[in-house]
Amino acid sequence: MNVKVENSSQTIQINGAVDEVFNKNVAPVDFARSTVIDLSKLSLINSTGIREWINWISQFGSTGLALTNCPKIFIDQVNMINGLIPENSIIESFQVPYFNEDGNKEHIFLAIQGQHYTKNKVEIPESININGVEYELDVMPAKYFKFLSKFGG
Amino acid sequence: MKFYNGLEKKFTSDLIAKSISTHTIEELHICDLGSVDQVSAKNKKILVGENLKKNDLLHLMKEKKIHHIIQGSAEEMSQELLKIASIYSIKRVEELYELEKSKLNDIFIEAFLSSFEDKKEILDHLNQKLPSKIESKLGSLIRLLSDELLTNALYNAPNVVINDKQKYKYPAQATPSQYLIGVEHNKIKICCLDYFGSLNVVDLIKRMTKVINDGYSDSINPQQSRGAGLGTSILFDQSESLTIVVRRGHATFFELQLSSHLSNKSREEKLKSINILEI
Repeated sequence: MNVKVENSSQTIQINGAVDEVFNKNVAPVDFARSTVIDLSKLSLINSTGIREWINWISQFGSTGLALTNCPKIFIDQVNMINGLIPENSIIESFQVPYFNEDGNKEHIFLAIQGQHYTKNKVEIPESININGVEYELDVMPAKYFKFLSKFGG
Repeated sequence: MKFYNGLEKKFTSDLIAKSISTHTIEELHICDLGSVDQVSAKNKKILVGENLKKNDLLHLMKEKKIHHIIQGSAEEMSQELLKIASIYSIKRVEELYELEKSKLNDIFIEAFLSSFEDKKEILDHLNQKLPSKIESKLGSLIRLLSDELLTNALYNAPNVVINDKQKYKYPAQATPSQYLIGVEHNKIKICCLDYFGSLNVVDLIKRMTKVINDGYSDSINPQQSRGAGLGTSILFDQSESLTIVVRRGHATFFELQLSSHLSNKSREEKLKSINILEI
């Protein structure tokens, strides 16, 4: 975990797995400071890690948290587990997988709050074209975008 | 196949009229397959589901005490029934691991586990041993599911309080758990066998029902829970078929299945099968 402090806010970068040894890897954090948690380098979150994560993240209390670059493995857990992130958090960006069946290729699209979604609206395309290759949305929207009504900003 | 034709008749006559239907193993003619112990198979209910969602499956297991719910294509249900037949044909849970292993066309990894280092090594090996076609599409999901299985075998199954998981090793007299991943036709199978047999299936189904229906923090205190409910709910949520067979005090067998050729979306839309029982 890396923590970068700038003026009144801090950015926490989570690296690798959130698992049974997550609490040994946490850096000192000011839980009262305005915070952005960047999850672009999160590789895995398991059930033991979820417990450690909830114990850690609940210390932010009523401080509003912003989460960025959330990968699918994290969004799946946000959708399944109440309390994985505090109620007043905002997911500022998250990854949406697209798939090209013929070429067996995946493309990750970064959905950004305000641009592609809000709490009440989702404008994420069903398909996208990258260099002439058509990729289809590779999640079930009703299931995957469920968290937006709570954390869509 | 004689057994498959018999099953198909049941589908058309019983199932289309009702959304779900239960049959005993004898009615489904699994006994025709040969090696099933007829006494142990008697009165074991199999539910053939049509479009049952995750919470329906768990509700039926919890309230109706059904051990097997199978869904999917005729071929997939046929495979599930063969597995169920295997479950009732064995004397020891370990035999089920060997039976499922013998069906694999290709084994990617088979390993023993008794410490955090073993778990790390197995997960690291996955990066190298998965075929590139599978790695590119399913790598992160396979690592998550494998991690949950290994975590369960390592920390939950011994049924002791573990203060430092990184330093924890099985007691010297305990037999290491076994982990296996391979492919059978177009299905990836991930199996784990522990020699503790500590899982209480009734309690597990209750915990899974709470996690799937209510979300984690509403139902389980993170300070107290040892986690079989949450971990197994993740396994159930992310796989197409989950099988758990326990012989209390002896061994527990887990098996998960994933289609190797499907996109995320198609996999999420697939109907799930589930088998959870104590033998």
